Amino acid sequence: MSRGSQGHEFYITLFSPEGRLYQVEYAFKAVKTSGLTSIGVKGTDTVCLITEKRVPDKLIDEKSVTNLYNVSEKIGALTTGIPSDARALVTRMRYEAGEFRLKNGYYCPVDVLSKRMADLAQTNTQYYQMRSYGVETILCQYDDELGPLLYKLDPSGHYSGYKATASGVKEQESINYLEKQIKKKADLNYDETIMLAIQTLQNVISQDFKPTDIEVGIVTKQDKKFHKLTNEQVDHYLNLIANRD
Amino acid sequence: MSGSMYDLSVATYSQEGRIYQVEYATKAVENSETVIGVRCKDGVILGAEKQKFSRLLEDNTNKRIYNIDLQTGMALCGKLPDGRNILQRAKAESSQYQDMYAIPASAHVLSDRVAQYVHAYTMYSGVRPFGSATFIASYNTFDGYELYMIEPSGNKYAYHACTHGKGRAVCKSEFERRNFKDLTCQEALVYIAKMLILAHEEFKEKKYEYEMTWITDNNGRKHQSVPQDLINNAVQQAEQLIEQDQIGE
Repeated sequence: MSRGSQGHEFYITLFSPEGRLYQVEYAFKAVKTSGLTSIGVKGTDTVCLITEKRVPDKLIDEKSVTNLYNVSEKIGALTTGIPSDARALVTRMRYEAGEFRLKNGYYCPVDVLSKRMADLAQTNTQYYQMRSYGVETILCQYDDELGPLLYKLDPSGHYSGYKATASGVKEQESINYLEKQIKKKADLNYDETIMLAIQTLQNVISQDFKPTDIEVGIVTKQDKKFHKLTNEQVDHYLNLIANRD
Repeated sequence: MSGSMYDLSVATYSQEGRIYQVEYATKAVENSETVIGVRCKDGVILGAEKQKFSRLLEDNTNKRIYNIDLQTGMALCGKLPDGRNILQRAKAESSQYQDMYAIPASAHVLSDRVAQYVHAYTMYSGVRPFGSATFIASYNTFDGYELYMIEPSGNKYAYHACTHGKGRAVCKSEFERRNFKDLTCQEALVYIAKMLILAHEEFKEKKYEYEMTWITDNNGRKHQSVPQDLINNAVQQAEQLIEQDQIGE
């Protein structure tokens, strides 16, 4: 594989001779430097986002470590990648969702927000001034018109809706596992959605979790507000999965 | 670790997805004088060591720890001029927040804003990252005592105890040995002094002065300098403790 040693890989605005944008590819690599894996699963009336919670240093106050954010009351965001880039993106998403609400009078739907954020990400791949964010974001919402929605955004400016998706270190393994499971059963109820998400993470990371090792966020038809599950609720699902096995 | 061509701009990712300019900025902080922040039972203490690099220097004039507001303080680690830029921004953010919301900005709000400001300088090709890590300590009635550290990458976390600079390894091992949440601020001063002295163990022959500030229940929950005589006592006792430890070995 030619390394583009003429310098095509150092600058975002240069295509390599094979037509690749190396800086964008390197931004994808940066997502994996966080060492975490995140998963999103959509059911018939529920969307569940889950990620590992790893506190980088014993001295850090655990309450300040999170990758799961509310972008608005109804949209939840799960970021994987460089933490400071993630924080900046979440702030921008909150701003965009808020502006939409202000100008249009109704809550920003997640597919509109995804498109907007993807378009912004694309400008970072075409203009020299800024580098791409080293973050993949998974967004979820229960939309009044379209039902449960799950979207993933990446540094290249690509976005797409998914039935289930993953990002981070074990992205490929997670997606393989999810494809097999969704093929068996695609219409998942509330419990099944959450259990599939937790199960996938357990499977690819192959270790047993305590409730404090993971963060789970959900949005449902009944409760359209995106919220995180408490440790007790997570424990309940971990026990269900353990008992079933 | 050679960055070859990947380290010429902060807007360039390396082949493994790292941003070398941010890592180099962090190195600049790691080579500087040590700064410590600790949450104790009844407050927060910020401490910094300062080398007196010339006999002509006036004592206690070259500050590293500043007030952002009555009850919020910021300590600068790394390149001081860069740190002062961040400080000015923090003061402006804090003042603007108070104008809009009529309550003082707490550390978790302020640190978020400052972190995003610092992060912005890691995104554009025309600028360089700040070579400075900043510590924000505050008290307010809703959130109690808070301590945050913001790194040159724009990462920020809340800490029970944090440190940066040359002596960070020494300080971290002391943090693990001692649970500061069991000590009052008054009691903790000795250990802070001890850490700051051990931090420059290799440069014992040079002269150092110590700057400490606190926000505690006893001083009206305001960010103020620890009185000089308390600092001097703490340093003296710390030096004795260190001697005892060394004799013990």
